[in-house]
Amino acid sequence: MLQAIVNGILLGSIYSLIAVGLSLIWGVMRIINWAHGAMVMLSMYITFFAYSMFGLDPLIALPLVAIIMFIVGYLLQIALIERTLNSSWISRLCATFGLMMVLESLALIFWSSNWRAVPVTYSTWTFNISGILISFPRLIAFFIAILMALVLNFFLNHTEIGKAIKATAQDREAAALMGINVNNIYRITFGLGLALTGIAGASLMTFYFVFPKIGFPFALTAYIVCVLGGLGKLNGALLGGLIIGIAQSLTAYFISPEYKMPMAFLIFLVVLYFKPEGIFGGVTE
Amino acid sequence: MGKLKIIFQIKKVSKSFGGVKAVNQVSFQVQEKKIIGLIGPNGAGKTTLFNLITGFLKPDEGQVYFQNRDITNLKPHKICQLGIGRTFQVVRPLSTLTVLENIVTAALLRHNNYKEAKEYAIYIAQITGLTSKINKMAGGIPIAEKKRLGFAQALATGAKLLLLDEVAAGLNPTEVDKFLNIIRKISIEGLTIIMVEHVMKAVMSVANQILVLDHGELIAQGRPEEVTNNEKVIKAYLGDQYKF
Amino acid sequence: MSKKFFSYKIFLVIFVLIVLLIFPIFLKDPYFLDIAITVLLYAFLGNAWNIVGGYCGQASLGHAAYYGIGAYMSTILFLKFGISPWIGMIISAVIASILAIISGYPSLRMKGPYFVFFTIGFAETIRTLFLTWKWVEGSRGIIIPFQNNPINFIFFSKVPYYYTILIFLIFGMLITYSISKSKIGKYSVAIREDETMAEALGINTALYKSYAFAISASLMAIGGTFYAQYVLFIHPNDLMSLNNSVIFMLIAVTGGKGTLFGPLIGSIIIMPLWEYFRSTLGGQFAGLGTLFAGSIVLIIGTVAPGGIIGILNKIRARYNISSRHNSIVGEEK
Repeated sequence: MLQAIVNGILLGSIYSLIAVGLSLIWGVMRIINWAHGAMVMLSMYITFFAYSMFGLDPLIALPLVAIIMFIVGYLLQIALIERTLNSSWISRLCATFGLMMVLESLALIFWSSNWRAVPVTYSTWTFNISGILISFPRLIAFFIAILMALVLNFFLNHTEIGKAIKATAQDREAAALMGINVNNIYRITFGLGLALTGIAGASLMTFYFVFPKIGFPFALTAYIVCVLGGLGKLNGALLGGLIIGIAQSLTAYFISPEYKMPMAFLIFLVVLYFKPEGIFGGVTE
Repeated sequence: MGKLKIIFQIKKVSKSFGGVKAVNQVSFQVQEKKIIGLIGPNGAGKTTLFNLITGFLKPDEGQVYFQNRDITNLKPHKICQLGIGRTFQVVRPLSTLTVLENIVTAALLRHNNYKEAKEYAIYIAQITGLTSKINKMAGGIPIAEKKRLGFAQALATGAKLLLLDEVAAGLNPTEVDKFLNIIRKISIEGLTIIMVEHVMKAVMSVANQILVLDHGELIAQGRPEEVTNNEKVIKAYLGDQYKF
Repeated sequence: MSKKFFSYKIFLVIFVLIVLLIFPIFLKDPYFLDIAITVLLYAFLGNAWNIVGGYCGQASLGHAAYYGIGAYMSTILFLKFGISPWIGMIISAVIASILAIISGYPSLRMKGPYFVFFTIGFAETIRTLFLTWKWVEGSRGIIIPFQNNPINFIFFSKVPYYYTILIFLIFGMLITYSISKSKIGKYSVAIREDETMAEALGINTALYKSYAFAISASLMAIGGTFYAQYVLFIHPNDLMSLNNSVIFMLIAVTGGKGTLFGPLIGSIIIMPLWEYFRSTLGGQFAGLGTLFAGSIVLIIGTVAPGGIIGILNKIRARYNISSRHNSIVGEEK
């Protein structure tokens, strides 16, 4: 059972990484990025092509993927999301959901539904620590997630831009009055959120595979994680990811792997019913 | 004076937000058909009080009674159904509907038949001076008219007690006078009104009684003349350094 | 409102109705009839979604669950208990509405995105449930044996199916129309516009949301039964997919959510192309259908929130063709 918990933590760290980006976007712009899962898928494909065309190991390609995704996010914000900032949430739903559909269908058309994977030498390495098997690439992903959490924390609290982002998240009008270019902050935030999915995607490619629809289950879980941790609260996303990861792992172990999603959904329901603001009391508006 | 019943009563109601007491042990009674002015500096807790009365917030302690019935923990729609109507400080018209449809939606509470509700809505629009605007989109009219629309909607729900939150703000003197006349008229017809106002002249000229709130506490209540000469009230508005 | 204006709208409706009625007489090719039936079915389903998503503003992305439940319930009642699908359809409509109220209860307090998460998760859970449920054949799906017997809601030619779904559609739209003119409709719109204000006007938002949900779900279930009897094969992944839920929303939103004819217009625009991509091209090109649909959703979300009808209204307003009289649409944001 300890094995299940360890697996859960490793799995959960990926969820955390994906969820943090989502939570950040929500916290600053009050938009649920329904295309977040598709972005993970996109980053995974970029990582794959970095390997198949240039022979780059995913972990080496990782910073590159992150930068590419940042640019993609920045541009998407300008081209699309900005138009919806004053619209109803249904319009925003349509915009980002439509984006997801477009991305997934383009992936299907250009790259087919075949699974793609990067055959790194270390994808099957495992450590055996007193009877518990730990997969090497997943462990790396875990450390990357922790590293990113620390970097993000530092960035948001100790850099000019980071603090501007935090200010905008708290009160966009006040931030504007203080001279912060809110539109630019939004673009940076969206780029940042996608960059995080880029990191997650690249990490995933060291031990997983990609196909056009792979984003969806990750995204769904990410939403649940965000709600659990409190929408807009990044620490919550981190912690929530681990909790869901462990819960799913235990469910797969004790009941059946088929019930991983229903279990996540059950947790979601319970949280929404008893404490909709999540663990750290996120913004519910 | 003794013949009029107590229609509304609030006993020791308090509400805190994260350690700050927005409303602190407020108690008062209101006789029916009276016009009560609720004044106080910004942030005194007036809107919070309204939210507590109408069920949008739950009090930490205390009770609210309407027509001798405890309404403290009832849902907002239930409280409205019982006869308390309100406006919002930040106007909330149903933007994609016309002004008339907005009022009709309110009127449907007491008139199940759409046709009846529409007739009643037209009548309410007349009373509140909105007749010329009834076919305009509620989202596109100026703020002063949006406020009047909110007022009309509260009226149309058939309320016996009206809680008006700064309806006179932003109106020019003529409009203020018109508004006050409407208030006087509906009061004669049997409605009880509690109005939050910053436009002092408005509230002082029409209210039977004034309540003064400061930092969540009721610091004075009485007739308009009494309250304006009350030292605590003057201090609350102007600060300690001013003396009379 | 001049007399001229009035008659132009009614004339249009009658014209469309006549076209729809005589359609099969001129186009007998089963391929085209199939597309026509699909268009009408999805218009019907889009209309059902519209009641709760467009008028009441509760954009559910889990409606496919009720679609599937309707299909499964009438099929099980038919195959295991010998009850005619016509009756099974009514029963499943009632059960679906009860289920909608029960399952909708936790979601009544949820706002915006939370509500959407919930509906997605709900539908996915139901789908997983049906996939693993042995009694309903789970992942194998159920085949309904073909017997040309109208009493059992199975027809040999496509023409009766066409007229059946057309009648259902007209019925569904009549329901939507009468709701829009009633207290339920007006209250639903108020809830959509501003729930807090609705409460302040004495509207029991939980109750009215439930009404909208119940009516919407029961219509969905009826659509599900039709599908089962038309295709004669049901499977959780065909019926209760997120894809389907999104299409229902897409159809209503493209035409104009919260309008009477929106779903029909939306279906006419989207379904023929969708079917073409899906069945004729297939394979990787199945993606083209989603690409097309996704682009439309994107465009609607960013520049045309009112859908086609919204655009038409804007054109009308700009050229001052008539005073705005349709209270259901208005300026969308």
